[in-house]
Amino acid sequence: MANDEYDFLFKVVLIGDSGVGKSNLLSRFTRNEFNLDSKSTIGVEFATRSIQVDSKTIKAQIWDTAGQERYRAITSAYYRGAVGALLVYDISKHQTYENVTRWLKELRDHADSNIVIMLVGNKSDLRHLRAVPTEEAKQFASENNLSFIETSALDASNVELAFQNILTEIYRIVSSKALDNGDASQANLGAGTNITLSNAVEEGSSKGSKCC
Amino acid sequence: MATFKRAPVAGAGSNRSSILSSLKATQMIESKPILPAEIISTILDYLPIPDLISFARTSKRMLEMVYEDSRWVQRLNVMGVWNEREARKRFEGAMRRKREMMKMKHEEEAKKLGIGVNGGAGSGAANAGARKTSTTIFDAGVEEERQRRSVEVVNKPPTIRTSVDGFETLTLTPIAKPPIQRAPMLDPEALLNIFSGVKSIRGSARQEYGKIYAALAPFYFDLARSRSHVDPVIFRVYLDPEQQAQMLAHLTIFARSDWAQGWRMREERLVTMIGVFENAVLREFEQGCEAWDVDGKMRRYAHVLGVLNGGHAGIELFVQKHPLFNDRLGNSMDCINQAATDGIALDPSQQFLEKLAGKIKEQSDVIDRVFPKGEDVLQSLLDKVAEDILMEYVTPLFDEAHDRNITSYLKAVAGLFEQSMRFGLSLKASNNSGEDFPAKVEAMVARVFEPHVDLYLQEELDHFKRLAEHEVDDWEKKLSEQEATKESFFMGNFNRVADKKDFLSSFKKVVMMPVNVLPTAMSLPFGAPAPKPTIAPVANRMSLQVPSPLPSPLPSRPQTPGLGSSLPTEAPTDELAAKAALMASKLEGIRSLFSIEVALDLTHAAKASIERAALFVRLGGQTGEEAREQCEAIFVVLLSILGSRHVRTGFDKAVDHLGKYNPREVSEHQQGVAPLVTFLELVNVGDLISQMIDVFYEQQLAATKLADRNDFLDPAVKAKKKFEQMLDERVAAGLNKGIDVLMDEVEYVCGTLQKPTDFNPLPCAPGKPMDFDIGPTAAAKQIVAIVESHTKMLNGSTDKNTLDVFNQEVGLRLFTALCKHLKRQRVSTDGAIALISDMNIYFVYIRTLRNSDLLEYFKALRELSQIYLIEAKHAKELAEVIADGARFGGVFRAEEVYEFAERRADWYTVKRDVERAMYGIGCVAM
Repeated sequence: MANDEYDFLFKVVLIGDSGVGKSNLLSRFTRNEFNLDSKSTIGVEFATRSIQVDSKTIKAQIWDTAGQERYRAITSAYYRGAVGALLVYDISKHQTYENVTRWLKELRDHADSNIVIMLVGNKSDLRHLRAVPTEEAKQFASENNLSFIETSALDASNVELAFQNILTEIYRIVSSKALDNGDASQANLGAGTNITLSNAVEEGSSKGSKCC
Repeated sequence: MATFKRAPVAGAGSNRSSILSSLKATQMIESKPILPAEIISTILDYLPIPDLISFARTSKRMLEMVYEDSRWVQRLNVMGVWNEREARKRFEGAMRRKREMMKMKHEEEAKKLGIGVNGGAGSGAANAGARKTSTTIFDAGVEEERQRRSVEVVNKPPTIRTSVDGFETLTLTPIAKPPIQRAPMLDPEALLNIFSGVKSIRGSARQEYGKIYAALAPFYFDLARSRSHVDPVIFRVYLDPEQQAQMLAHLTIFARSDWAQGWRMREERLVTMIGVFENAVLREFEQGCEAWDVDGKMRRYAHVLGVLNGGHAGIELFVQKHPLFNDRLGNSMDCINQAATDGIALDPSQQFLEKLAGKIKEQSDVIDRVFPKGEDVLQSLLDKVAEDILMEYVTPLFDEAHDRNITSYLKAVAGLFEQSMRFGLSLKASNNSGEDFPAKVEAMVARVFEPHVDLYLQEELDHFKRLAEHEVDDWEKKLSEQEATKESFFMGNFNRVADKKDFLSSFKKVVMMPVNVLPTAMSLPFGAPAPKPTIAPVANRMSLQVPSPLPSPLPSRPQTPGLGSSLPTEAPTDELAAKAALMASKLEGIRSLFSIEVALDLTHAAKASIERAALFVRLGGQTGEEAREQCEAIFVVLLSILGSRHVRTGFDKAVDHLGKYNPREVSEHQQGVAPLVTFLELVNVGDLISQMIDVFYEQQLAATKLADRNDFLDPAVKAKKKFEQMLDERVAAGLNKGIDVLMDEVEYVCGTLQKPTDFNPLPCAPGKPMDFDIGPTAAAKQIVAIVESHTKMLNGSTDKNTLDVFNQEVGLRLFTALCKHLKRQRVSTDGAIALISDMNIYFVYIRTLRNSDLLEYFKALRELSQIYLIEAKHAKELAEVIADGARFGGVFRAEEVYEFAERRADWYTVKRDVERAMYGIGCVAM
């Protein structure tokens, strides 16, 4: 992948409870595949896909993590250098929604404080089994300064949009920050450059993403 | 008897004192001059009828004895006019009435006598006997009267009467019964049907016999006494030969019931008389035959003979003197002479049999017109035809063919047999032929061929064996010539499964083609104008084929594609051959090992042989069984030659190649390990051959009932099992080596392609964009490609269990190789991403094998690779992960994980923390 050109490379992690459909979101986005009987992810899987924003090529390096990983040491490795996170829950399982707060806390603990987080209510195709009202989730998202979207990896609705949105948002922040810094070079995740996300609530960039 | 004798001895022993006492005790039994009833009864059997009747008059007891029903039933039985079933039916009806009557009678008698049952019974019986006599219809007097009357009618002095006369006065019943009542019986015309009027009634057998006796005895005794053939009354009463014959036939039957003194003489006389009569009729018939006066003399006298005694003499004469046997219908040598060198033409024999069939059809009509119903004249004629014409035709032909050329001999025997069978089927049954006419005809044809079958079957087997061995030898010779040139193999990566399916389906098509040993003209009914055989012998090679285009037996080689095209029936064969050639070209690599074309040729030859031999199975009986066994034997030979001579050597060679492979010596590494690819291709072809054999077995042996699929002792089944087993064994042995070779290759790739920076990228300079390459490394991709391409090649080509074992072994060995490989690497936290990606693609590949045990190992590898992701600052937790056995599904123990952890690039910085944490966890005291 070194050979294809890109302007920005963003690392985005997919987190959320086990079984909410993270892997299928990823496969839907990167390969347009859906696997009904997929097994739970072991460790972590990677995939990349490039999209165009403002005539810039943005390459997303997406880490699909195992929802049941218990070791902080490992989860924190997942978050290292991530500029975006899709926090996924299952709209038909209320418990997964309740756990969102715990995931948020973990993000705050381990990830870059400026990380862009999007709350994703997956499995929107299961309307008849809905356990989490859209409004409630939307409310929660705005309270916590998260973007929010409901998707379905099965029927592919909003999947593209979700990634598009988060990547665009990251791009906006990064490019404005780059401009601020007068740094014309690419925003690099691993290059040790401090990336300050301007619209983040927290002031200033506290941690630089170190070379992983 | 023994006890009888011992008794007096014992007595003597006990009374030794007085010897005379035992003598005194004995009683002198006076032997009465009366014979026991049994002996009298037996004697009665030998009395002539008139004497018998006279005897009846002597006393009531004798009367009873004479009148006893069974005596007369026996006579009727002997003449074949007694129907026991009919009698029983009547009897049962009568019994009920009788029982009621008996009851009434008993009551009456009891009333009458009023005393002791003993005396009552005796007189009752006597009473019954008396009554019975009065109710009989056929009694001595009437009988005698009738006899006299009938004799008078034929103007013959009643000589028999004299013997009866003396007793006439003693008749119990009046003889004055009006004889006019009997008049219809005496009508000569009516007498001709005397037997048809006989009824089977128990208790009145005597009357029935009396009727017959009255009608026939005069003629019979008259005949017995007559001196010459003009003498007997019978020839004067009846003037028509038909009637005479009828009467004589009756007398023959009647004579059977005559066993009184002198019966032999009388019967002899009757027989000679009949002989004289028959001769006269035969002469007339013969004259008719000579004049071929079908509807006139022949028909008339054939019927007369039929009436007389079934007409055997006439039939024999007809068959013997038949003009058919004087015609010369064909010369069997034409079959050999008309064919090109070493060939055999079955057209002349075909024409010959057609002509013969036509003639026989004519004769069948004639026979229907001439002969009365009942006798199967056509059958006799056919038997003679078979013996005199067919046998004469066939035997020299076979002998000659056998001397000249075995191939044409085999074809001649099978072809002629088939032709003859069809000839037999084309024959139309005549009116007299029974239901089993076809079976009989078949048996007739069978008789003709029986003497040849043994030799033929033996030759067939030998011929096939020779042919097969020659084929394999030929191929081996060709191969050894080529051997030196090159040993280039590499498979075109074609769609194996589809190709195999395609190939097999056309193979099936060819095998399933109907047995067609004869020209198509033969399949037409005989009467139809046979289309001229369109194919004339052109070339030398063709001539072998044309006379009897065995469609598949002669596989036109792909090298000579134009050959078969002139014969439309050969199209599928050509198609198959073309596919075989295509297949062979794709399997370039294994050309030096064994050839699917050879296998195909062998099966074709076997098919031809089995089809020919199978024709004889129809014969049934021992010959049929032998033919069937021979078919199986051919199959067994096919398998043994194909298996041990051809396929096994090929496999052995391939395994040998495998053993010699060393990846480091091969200059150029392609997508496959060459000898392994070769071997796997071989497995494919071996499987193809095995399937071919299976189809062949199903179609040729099982479907045609030549072999019993369920009989595990059947030699064909055993041979097939053995062949398959041999194949499986070779495959298993080869796979074992193959795995070694494959792993050598994997290790070689690991050693050469994996760069040290793959898992331990150089720390990038600050500010410089790092080449963030995620995804598997080149080495991993190559390894997966190699392993996958080889395991895929086996899919569907060998038995599933073998495949599973193979896959499992490959997976395990791959796992071991990877672990070993990993322990040689140094992995940084950055490089961990590449490592995880590698592990992920191994995992994805292993998942395609669908082996859950194997998957556990690769899951553990995935989990394991995460320990490299952990940052140095989390060393404490790293220790926890290392110690977490459950995480690795039991695949790795903590010590092993620890070993892997040592491969971290930053190991020496974290080692202390990790060790402390690890031992801290394990030891509470710390």
